[in-house]
Amino acid sequence: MKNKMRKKIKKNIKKGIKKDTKRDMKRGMMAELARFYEAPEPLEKQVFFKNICQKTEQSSESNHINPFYIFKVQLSYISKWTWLASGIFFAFILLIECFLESLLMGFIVCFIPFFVMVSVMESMRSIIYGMEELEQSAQFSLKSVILVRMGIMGMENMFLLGVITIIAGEQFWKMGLYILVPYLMTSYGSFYMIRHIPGREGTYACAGLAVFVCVLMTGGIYFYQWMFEIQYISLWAAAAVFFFGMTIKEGRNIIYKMEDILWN
Amino acid sequence: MELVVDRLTKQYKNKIVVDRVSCKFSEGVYGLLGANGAGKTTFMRMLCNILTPTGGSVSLDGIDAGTEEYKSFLGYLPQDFGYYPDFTGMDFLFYMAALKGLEKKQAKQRIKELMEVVSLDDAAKKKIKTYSGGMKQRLGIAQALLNRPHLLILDEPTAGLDPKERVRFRNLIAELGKDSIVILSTHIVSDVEHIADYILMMKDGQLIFQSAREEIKEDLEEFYLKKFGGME
Repeated sequence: MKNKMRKKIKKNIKKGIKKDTKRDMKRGMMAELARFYEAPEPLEKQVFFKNICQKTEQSSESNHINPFYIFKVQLSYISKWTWLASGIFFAFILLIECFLESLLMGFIVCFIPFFVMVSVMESMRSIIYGMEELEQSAQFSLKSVILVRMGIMGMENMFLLGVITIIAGEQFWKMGLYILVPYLMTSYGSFYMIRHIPGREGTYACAGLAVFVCVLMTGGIYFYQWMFEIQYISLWAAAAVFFFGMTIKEGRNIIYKMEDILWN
Repeated sequence: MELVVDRLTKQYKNKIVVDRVSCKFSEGVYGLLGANGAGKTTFMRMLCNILTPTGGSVSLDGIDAGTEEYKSFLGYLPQDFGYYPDFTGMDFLFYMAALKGLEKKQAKQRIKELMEVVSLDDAAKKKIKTYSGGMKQRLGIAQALLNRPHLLILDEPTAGLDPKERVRFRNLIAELGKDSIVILSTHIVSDVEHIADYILMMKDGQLIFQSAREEIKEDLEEFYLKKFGGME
């Protein structure tokens, strides 16, 4: 039995050695052949790739007409500093709510312009950094890029402001109005600035506007506290509606009068 | 493949910037010459659907310039372009690839290829703000080639390139012109002299001359000066 096993093993080893030898010989032959015969250069390589690309594009047409694709792309390219700024603002709100509750409303109303400034600048990044021409010539045009970015920042802002309004603890609608007015005032002004002052100068103008609105609201809270009493709430509502309309108008102007920006 | 431009016009307030330009383009390199303010950039922007024409139309094999399909065949390098400050060269190309609808895997391979072609593979992971003018221009050329365009429009592409880079660029364009339509605008005659198959000349918004290069028997620069100086 043992001898039989040994013989079998020896036989297999010899087979293996033979196989290895054959394999090595093949490899050797192939290496020699490669030395003497160079593979010819591929002809019309670029044309071949172009045709393959077109076939791939045609077969994956869902990417070209799917609105969620551009949403996903733009979401992934929102600057991390924008998310960080929103996070820091929110964290400050929570800290003040915990330790200096009496100052909470004043802090929110005064610092909301800077929060808006960051969001508007993120939405208008293409125009601020001179990428508008390249983006307009791409398949997903500049209008769709800006609209999607505005949508993303708008949703993020509304969510955060909603949470902040709840945290503030005052009557939801009253607090909402006190936050909305400086928010919409800054949004409208920032869109206007960026449309009329393209490039980096536009960002400085937006920063200046944010400071102005902040000072205005701070002055209101400390020197004109009567403005925040319930009998004047209708004025706040009217201001909110007015600035909402102006923000929408200016946002539309940016989208539909894109050519003026590109022309300039 | 044929790009048809039919009576293309652009008027802005009181000024006619492009005045009823009509021409047809097929595969090859087209050199568009003209002085500053001739309307070359406006014309090219209308070909890329960046500006809406006041009149006329542009179509590629019957596909109107305003459509997504047309843009899928288009590669464009503007005269001057910006970049997001936090982007590296690679990030910039990935972003443009996403806007052009390229899938990530496809884009990765293509970007690697193009970075080698434009000799930016060493600088791919560096921020664009550290790039020289020539490097930025090469990056722009790379983004224009991402989607293997059938129609490549280059506005003053050799601006900022040194003589060695210009020669490399000319060779690249000559190669691309074999099976794509390449329209290259410049006011530097030597940029197109050796590579353009066809010459077009613009003056005051009008196309004053269009012809095959071989039909111009004399030195192109002298011919250009004659046309623009009115010295016939």
